[in-house]
Amino acid sequence: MNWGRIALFLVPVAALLWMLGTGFGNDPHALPEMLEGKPAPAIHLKTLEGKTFRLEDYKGKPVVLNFWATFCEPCKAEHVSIQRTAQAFGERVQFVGIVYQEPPEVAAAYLKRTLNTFPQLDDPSSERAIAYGVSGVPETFIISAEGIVVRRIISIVNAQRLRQELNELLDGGQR
Amino acid sequence: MMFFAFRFIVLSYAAVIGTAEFNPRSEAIINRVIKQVEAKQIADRKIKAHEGQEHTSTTVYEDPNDPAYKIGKELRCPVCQGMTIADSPVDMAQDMMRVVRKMLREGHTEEEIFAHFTRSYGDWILLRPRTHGVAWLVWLMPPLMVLLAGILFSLYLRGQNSKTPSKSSESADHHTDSTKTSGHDAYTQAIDDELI
Repeated sequence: MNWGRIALFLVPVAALLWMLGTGFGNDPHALPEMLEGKPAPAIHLKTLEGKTFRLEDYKGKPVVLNFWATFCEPCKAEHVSIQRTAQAFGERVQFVGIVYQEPPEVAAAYLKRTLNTFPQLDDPSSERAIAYGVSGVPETFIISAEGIVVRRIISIVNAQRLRQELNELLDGGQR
Repeated sequence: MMFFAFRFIVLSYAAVIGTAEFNPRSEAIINRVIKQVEAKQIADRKIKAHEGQEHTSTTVYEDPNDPAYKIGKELRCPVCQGMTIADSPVDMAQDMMRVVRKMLREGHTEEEIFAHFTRSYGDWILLRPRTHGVAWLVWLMPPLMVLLAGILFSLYLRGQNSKTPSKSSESADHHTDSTKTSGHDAYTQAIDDELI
C-alpha cells in the first residue's frame, strides 16, 4: 500500500472537510465582537429633552447603554426589564438609551406612555451606532466604571443576566 | 362581452410592455400610484428630517469617480444581504456613507476611514480582505494551491508516461505468447483428436 499517495489524498480532503465544518458552524451574518475589552467610544449627544449628555461624565460607575427603537418589538419588550433593573440599581449604575434610526419625537411620544427613568439620547445620522458597531436593535453594551466595554448583548436583554453582569462588575471591579 | 375581454387583455399587455400611457385611464391609475409613492417618500423624509441632520437625502451614491463611492463600494452594509454601503438604499448604509463623506471632508485618508469602520465592525466590514498578517494567506493560498496542483498533476503525468509503455508492451507480449501457446495447444489437440 502506497501510504504517500493515501496521505496526499487524505490531507487535502481532511483540510477541506475541516474548513466546511467550521464554515457551516459559523453564522455568516454574525458580527465580530470588536469592542469588548476596549475603551467605549465617546458619546456626546443630546437627550430627547435637548440636554447635553457626555459618557465621560459618568466615569467611575458602570454604564448600561441600550440601542433601541419603537419600531422594534423586542426593544419594547425588554424596555420594562431594563427599567426595573435601572430602578433596582439606582445611583450605582447609569442606564442610558440611544434611539436608533428614528425621529426623536416618535421615541419621546412612546416614552411618555411608558415608565422611563434614565436619559434617552438622539443619535442623528446613527454616528454613535456605527461607532459601537451596531447592526440592528436591540443591542446593549455594559461599560465598566473605567470606561471599558465589558459586554455586548445582541438581541433582547434578559433582566436576570443583566443583573448578574452588573453585580459581578460592581463586586469584582473590571473583569 | 368578447370585445371587453379582448380589450382587457390588450390593455393588460400594454401595461406590461410599458405602452399604457396611451390609455388615459391606465395613465390616471399610474399617476395616482406615483403620487402615492411620492407622498410616502415626502412623508418619510419629513419624519427623518429632524433638526440639524442630513436625513433629507435618500439618494444612493452612484458616481464611480466619487471617492466616497469608491470607499463605500469596499464596505459591507451590516444590515443588508451582500450589498455594499454605496449600493444599498437602507438608512444604515446611507448613514455610513455620510460618515465616509464627512471623514473625507475632514481630510482623513482612505486607510483611516477603513480603520474607523473596522474598529467597530472588524475586518468583516471590508469586502476586500486586507493584505497584512494572517490575511496574506487569503491572497497567497489560491495561486499556491493552483501551483501545487499543477506540480502534482505534472508529476502524475510523468509517472504515467514512464510506466505505460513498458507495462503495455509487457502485457501485450504476454498476451501474444499465451494466445500463441494456447492457440497452438488447441490446434495440436484438434489434429490429435481427428487422427485418433
